[in-house]
Amino acid sequence: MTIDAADTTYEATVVNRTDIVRIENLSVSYRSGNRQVDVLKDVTLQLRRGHVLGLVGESGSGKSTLAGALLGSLRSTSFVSNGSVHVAGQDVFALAPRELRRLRTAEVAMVPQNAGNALTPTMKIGEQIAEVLHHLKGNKAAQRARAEELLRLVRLPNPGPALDRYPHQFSGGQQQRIGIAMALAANPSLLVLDEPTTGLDVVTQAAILDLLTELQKTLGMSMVMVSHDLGVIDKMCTDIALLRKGAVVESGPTRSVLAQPQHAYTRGLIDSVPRIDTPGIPPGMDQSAIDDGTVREGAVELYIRTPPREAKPVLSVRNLTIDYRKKPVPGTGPTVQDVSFEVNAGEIVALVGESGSGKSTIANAIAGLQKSEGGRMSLAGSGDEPANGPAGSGNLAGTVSSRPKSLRQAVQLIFQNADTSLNPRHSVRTAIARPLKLFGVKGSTVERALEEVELPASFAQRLPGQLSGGQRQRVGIARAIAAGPSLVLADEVVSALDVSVQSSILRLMDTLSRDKDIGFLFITHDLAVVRSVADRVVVLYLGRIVEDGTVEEIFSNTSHPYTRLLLDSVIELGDDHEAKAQGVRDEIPDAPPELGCPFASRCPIVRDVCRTVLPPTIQVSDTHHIKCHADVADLRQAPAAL
Amino acid sequence: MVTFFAKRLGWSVFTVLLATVLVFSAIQSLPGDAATQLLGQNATPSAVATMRQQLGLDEPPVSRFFTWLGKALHGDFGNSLVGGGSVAGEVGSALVNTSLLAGITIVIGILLSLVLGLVAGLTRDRWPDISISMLALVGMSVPEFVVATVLVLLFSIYIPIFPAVVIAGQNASLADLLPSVWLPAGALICVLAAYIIRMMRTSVIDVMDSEFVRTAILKGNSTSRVVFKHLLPSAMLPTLNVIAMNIAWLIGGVVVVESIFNYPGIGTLMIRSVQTRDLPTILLITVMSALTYVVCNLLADFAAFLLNPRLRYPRSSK
Repeated sequence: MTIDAADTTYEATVVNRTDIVRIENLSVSYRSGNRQVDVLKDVTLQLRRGHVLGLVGESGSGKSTLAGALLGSLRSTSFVSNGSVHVAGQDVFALAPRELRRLRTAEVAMVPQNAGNALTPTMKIGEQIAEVLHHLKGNKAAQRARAEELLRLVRLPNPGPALDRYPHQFSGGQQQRIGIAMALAANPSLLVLDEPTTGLDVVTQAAILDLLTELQKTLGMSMVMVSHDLGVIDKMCTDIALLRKGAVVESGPTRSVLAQPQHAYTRGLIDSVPRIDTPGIPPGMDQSAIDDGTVREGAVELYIRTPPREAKPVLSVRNLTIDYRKKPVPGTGPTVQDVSFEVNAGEIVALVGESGSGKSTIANAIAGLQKSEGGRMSLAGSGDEPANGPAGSGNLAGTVSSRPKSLRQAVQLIFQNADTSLNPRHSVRTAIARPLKLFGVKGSTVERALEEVELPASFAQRLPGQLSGGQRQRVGIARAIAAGPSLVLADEVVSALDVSVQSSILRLMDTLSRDKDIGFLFITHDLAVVRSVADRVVVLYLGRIVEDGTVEEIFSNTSHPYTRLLLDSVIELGDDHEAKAQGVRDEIPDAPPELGCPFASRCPIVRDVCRTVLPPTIQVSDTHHIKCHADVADLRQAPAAL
Repeated sequence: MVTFFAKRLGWSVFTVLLATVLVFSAIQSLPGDAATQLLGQNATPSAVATMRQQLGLDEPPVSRFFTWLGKALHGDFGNSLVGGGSVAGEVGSALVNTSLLAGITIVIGILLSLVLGLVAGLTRDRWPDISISMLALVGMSVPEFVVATVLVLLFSIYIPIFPAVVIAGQNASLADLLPSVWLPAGALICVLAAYIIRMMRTSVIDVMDSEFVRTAILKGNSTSRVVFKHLLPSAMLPTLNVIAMNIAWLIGGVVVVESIFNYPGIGTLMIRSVQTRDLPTILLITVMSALTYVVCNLLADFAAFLLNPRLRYPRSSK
């Protein structure tokens, strides 16, 4: 016994020197009735000082639980049923509350997933950062100076005055920077990041990740990064661990694991990620094959979608203008200006842009949920009806309350979060039967609608809470399709889903658009998804179209500088992350400028004329248009933003 | 901010006016008036008519309302139809007495319920929470007159430390009232606290589950700092309106409790005035109650404004 004890002490000191994290046989469980359910099963992992570990997994894989365990934090109902977690040589779950607090103030800090929710809304950010600065306790001026220094370190604009502002006065990207500054305040030796960029736009994500890489190198920190995004993990992490159903299925150095995955799950995950450089929808993940442990051999078979042969417009938007301003603000223009595009029957058109680009505003106007100030929006007849017939066609200028029933029937919506857009107390049957009854749809039943989205008829009985995320989204789609629409507005419909489920939903959209001749307006910020499923793309910036064309044209090497910025900001598996040009730092402005090109303030090839004169339309091909003052030659392989 | 409160103030004035109109018409629609009440059932019609003329009750109701309103705006609320004295004086002295009772109730009641609600929320599903929640449930379901009776039974009969009723009449000084204010205050606190405790508990639990409280804990803050700096301001926000509503409700509770203890406050005066159809007195009491209600809500809005930076500094765009 004595020898054993001595051994452990020896090991502990060794651990202290080389490993910042040592997780041994960790199981975390909660009790459900008489059953003990494992959230984490026998997890063993180490992380050396100065290294970065990526925890990858889908929802429910236990990756966030594992991240929380590093700070000694579990849900109130969960408990450690076996094993231990050592951080900086200390057994986290054996610490007294006082020592645990000390660990959290000195050794390990967490960057939350969504700093917007993680910053206390009633406290000034200066105070929130200052309270972590325990070594400067009592010295207000020193705390303030250090807080300002930290904000400067994370490149928040105007760090001084920012200290006296409240979290809601910052944009999402800025809040995330503040969250990082707050975590860095205590000089932690380990930084735990829970999906630090998931809620952010590609451009902001690229900037935040570059910042993190730099900080990690200069401060010599160790990091544990939770993400579902393999590209991000590939860029950031030296080590990787893949979790599935609470267990680590594969771990090792990131490059080698991702290059030669040994486990079927890793292989499946890599295969199901859509890429911006290859068209086509990746195959869905075969969960049963993974359970069997069969690793797929050979190349991935992508499904290539064929766009509809003839162009039969369903939706036509002409010179749409939407203005949120109550009175004109000098120097700014309307929120959405002069937007024109079409959606043809059976076509999937992607509306792409950062948050604040006005894509949801436009969708809301088409749906009749938002008033428009100018322009025309019209819907052509659907299906068998004559093109100019009274039913299913008409003017979309009015809001929903002034639209005839047939028009409301013809335009349907699918939402980003199926779990919040379905009434949790209504069964699937009630949700789908509602449009059938409301619009008097003949010849369709709830069962038919479920069949169309590849769900068994027995699901009609279930409540949304009894479905998985992907199944709920299918119900959301079934509800929209049941009305028999000619146009479906799909707002970020796959963003909240795991990649393995994403591709099956994309396939479903493809099938429905072809079989039912439905035009889809697909709103998204995910360019890889756009590449895989869209026929045509409209790129928006600050409520103005900067480029539109077929999907091939948009992803070709002739692009608007903004499209180029978006494409360059995408982080993908297998990229040469070091060589990739770093994106523009500043964020999208609050309001569009009154004059000139909306992108002028961020454009790397900006000229004087861009700030005063509206850019002309360059007709690259019949279908490809770019609004820019530069020549086509300049836009071809245009220098990436510096 | 100025427009926000100006708008609120405008609505408040409107609310008070509406309340007086409603009460005025309600009194009109009751059978009988001050004249019949004063003269009794056997009065001759001509005597009643003379009495009405003396009291000014023969004018049409609408013109009487506007006459009253015009004078009231100048601070003249008329004379009591029954006692003949100035209504303002009578209601004023009752109001002072009630303010003592209400003040004690509000200060102790709110503090107590906020603390209990906070403790319950923080110790969710453990014994302190369970006992506090049980007590609050009892407080909610038992009417105030029962609570009052039980308190009298306990503290003036079994353990005679407080007087059971107030013997001093309408003209009692505050010093006379001080020993007898505790039992009625106790009865009111029991009922007032119940709702606030439950609301506070729920909102503490909600905020405890929020990401920012979790972050505050993971930052290594002490529990007291997490609770008082991070949790409390947000948890107070939804509770404020419940507090305001309950203080306004207190006015109703005061009527019952005061009459049980024969406490010479607004409630007792109100009941007497309704019995005698003493319109000027009732109207002034109504105005006062409506004012209390409106002022409480204004204060709640103002407190919310102070607690919530999102109201103080709205984001400029959109």
